[in-house]
Amino acid sequence: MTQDRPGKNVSYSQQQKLRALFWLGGLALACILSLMLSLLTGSIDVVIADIWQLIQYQTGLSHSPVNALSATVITELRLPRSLSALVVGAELALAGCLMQVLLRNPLADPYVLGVSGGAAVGALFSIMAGLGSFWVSGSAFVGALTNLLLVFGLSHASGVWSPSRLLLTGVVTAAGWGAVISFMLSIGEDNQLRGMLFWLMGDLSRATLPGWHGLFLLISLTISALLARPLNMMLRGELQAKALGVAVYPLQITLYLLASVLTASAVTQAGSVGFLGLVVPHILRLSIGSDHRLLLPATALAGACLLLLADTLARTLIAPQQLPVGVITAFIGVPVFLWVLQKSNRGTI
Amino acid sequence: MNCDKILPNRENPPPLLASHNLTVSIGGKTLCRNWQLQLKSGEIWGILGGNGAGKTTLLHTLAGLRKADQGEVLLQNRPLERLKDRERAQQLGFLLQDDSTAFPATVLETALQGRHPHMGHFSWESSEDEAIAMAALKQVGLTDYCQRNIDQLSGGERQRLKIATLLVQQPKVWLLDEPANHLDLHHQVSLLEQLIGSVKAHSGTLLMSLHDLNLAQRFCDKLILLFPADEKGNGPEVGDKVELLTEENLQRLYQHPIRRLTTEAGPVFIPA
Repeated sequence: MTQDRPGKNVSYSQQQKLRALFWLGGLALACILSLMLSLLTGSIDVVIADIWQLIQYQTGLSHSPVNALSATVITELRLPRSLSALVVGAELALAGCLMQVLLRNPLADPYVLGVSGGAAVGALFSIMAGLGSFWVSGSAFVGALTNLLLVFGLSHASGVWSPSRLLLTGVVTAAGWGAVISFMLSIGEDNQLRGMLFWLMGDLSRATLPGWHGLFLLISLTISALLARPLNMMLRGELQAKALGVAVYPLQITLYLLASVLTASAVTQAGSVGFLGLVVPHILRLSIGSDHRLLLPATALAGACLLLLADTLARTLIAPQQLPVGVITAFIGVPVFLWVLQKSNRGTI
Repeated sequence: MNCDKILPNRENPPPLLASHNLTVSIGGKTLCRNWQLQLKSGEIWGILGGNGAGKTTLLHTLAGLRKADQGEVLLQNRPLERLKDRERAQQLGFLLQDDSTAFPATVLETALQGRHPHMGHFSWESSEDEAIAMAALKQVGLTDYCQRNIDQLSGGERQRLKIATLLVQQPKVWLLDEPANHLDLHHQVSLLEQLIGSVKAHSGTLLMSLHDLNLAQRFCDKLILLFPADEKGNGPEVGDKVELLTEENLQRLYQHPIRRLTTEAGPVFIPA
């Protein structure tokens, strides 16, 4: 109909679906390639043939013997950690994207409402008490849920509720957690400080197979597919969304709970990996636009891919020493974001 | 059960939108008290009033975007409060006075949002939806802008896009908060003509707040003059445009003398 629209016989919605297929397919492929790279990289050499043999062996296609060392390295060490990185990355990016729409604020990230602060206080407490990683994760999750209920309750306490009230309540609560964290760091013993700092920067070295976290991610993606079109309306403002038939308040509550629990699940596995949840949604918005039917799954895939690449670098860059992955996400994320921002013609965020 | 209320009556069709004993107040000021209003098929209504008279608040209440203090609003005889947001939006469209663009979107995407209340939860816009959106963009003269980002539009173009979104929504009841805002003279007249054409073609009804008395004179059949409500029974005056648009009424409404001049093109209003 206009010069901008090639393929006169292809309707707008078909075009959108093809675009979605293209982007999601491409990003899924990038995730698979990152996974291969991650499995192959490290201090012990593993070759593609080993992985192939292992897959054939595991699926029962072949009974030829596999390289025992490679098999152990893959199944016991690299695969759990890599899958965990994929799940955490997807959860954080998705949570960031949902938070930005809920708060209608491009600066929002998964941690802005204090979920990671609450989790950190729980995790640091367990580390200081000398408890094992199960307790660290468990108390982080309890801390995150405490924050979720606290912020939700406080922002509703006066009877008037709005996203800006929620934002202020959350930001101030997060600052409170920050003070507690500083206090704990200042009284922590030297031999615990390193562990505490790694947790705060985000670190996957304790990660195990994602298990129920992965299941929860899939459920969240399904829910977000249902929310996608109403979210598009929310970008035009709450009243406009309501005028177009969106039940705004229930949607906001769902967004808050979904984003908070996604974040809780992510920090439970990997500590507070920074930056990813802020920047990945923006990179995707600038590249593919704001249609959440495409944006939400694409953001999850891109977040997964980026965190896995970052983690692969984190454990190999200065091997045998490991870096916290949170350091690398920012090192990759900042230049990528600035580059996309320069290239983009989609206007302001 | 009262069957008269539910069964359609051919001789006397129920109003599309009605208020029943409606009381609306904001910031300690009462706009109307136990107020009855009936908007019927084919009628074009205007709301006039000064700054802060409560035009927007009243419109929001009638659209279900805001709770009434007392009484209820009926959309085709069904209380607005009991309708789901989606059901309401299939019948009632609203043009907001201001819009916000915190995130980028294209003109076509924005216009297509008008289809939202008519689409299933998981479905994507069909080619039919696209045709409706393109037709509306053509009506408001934005066809060439359809792939453009909305933050590259001027104030007037953005207003035209909002009108296009409403045309895409195709409601029965159209509530418009200052539709002539930001529009040049040509677009004020041509877009109001097209809107009213659409409303009449679908046997709908339209209620808009206006600041321009000449537009009200030209396009409205009936008017609401938004005088403040008080204990003595004063309040909004409702009636035919011919009866209400007098120098005396308008002076009382705007607290400013207004002259009504008779010309070949009909009456013209100018502030003294």
